Amino acid sequence: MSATYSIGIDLGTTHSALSWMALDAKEGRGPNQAVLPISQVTAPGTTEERQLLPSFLYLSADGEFPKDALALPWKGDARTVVGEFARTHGTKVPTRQVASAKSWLSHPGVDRRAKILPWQAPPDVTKVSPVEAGARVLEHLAH
Amino acid sequence: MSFFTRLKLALSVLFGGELPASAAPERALPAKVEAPPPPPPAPVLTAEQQHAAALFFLGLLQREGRLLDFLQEDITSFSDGDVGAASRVVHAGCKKVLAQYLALTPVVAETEGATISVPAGFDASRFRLTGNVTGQGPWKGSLKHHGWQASKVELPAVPTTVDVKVIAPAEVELP
Repeated sequence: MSATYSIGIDLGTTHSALSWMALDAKEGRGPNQAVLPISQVTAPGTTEERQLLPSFLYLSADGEFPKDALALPWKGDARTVVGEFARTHGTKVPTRQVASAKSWLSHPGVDRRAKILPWQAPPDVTKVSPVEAGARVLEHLAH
Repeated sequence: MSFFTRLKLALSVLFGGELPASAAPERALPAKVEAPPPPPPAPVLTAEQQHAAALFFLGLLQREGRLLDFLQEDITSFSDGDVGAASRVVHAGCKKVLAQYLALTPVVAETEGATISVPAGFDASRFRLTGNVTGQGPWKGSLKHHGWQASKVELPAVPTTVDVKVIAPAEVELP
């Protein structure tokens, strides 16, 4: 099976995006190319499409939100959330928010597979590694 | 088959339940079509469920523009300057919500005060006549307000996993 479309992924430090174009199009810009809207939780119970996916991961506490309020169409009851709500709510709970995970990937003094994020997390938070955090953003984009 | 033959056929099938022999189609239909089960009775909705979208939209205006905080505050004791400063926050936030989810355009493009004509048999949801309303039209009158219409509504689905009666949760900061 040969591919019809080419999809570009921008895994950014603060925001990520998806773009696509038809492979038979001669010109890679203009009407042949478009940004793919990304479904994401924008508030508890609300999922919306946005052009950008904030590259933030929020690790919620047990019972912090109503059941299924962070669920996505492809993912049921979720304790962790990626995107707009992870960004906005995480600013109020910085110890549970993983931000700028990409910048930790190439940090010379850090093992990128070590579970160190969020950096200042309390002991009851199951920390993630920079690689895992990046993977969670990519996993979200894949849906 | 002509249109009227088709129509007759459709009506006879609809009300008679059987196809007339003359119009039997080439492909045989199932001998008996089960009548669809009657639709389940409409669930009785509480006022909150019925108006969940309104409460949800109020929640958006509160979240982005603090609209409820502003409206529920007794502003009589504040100076015009304070009220004006607060209203800028409300204005910016609520405007952001409107721009994000709705496209709002005037019903008529003319500026207020302009003389415009309203045809006989006008669309009464788009125009409201005031003043000396008489005769059959067309009328000429002064535009007092250009009206508003939503030419696009793209609100997110009303949440089902949170209590819609709670327009904004109480926030508690832990030390």
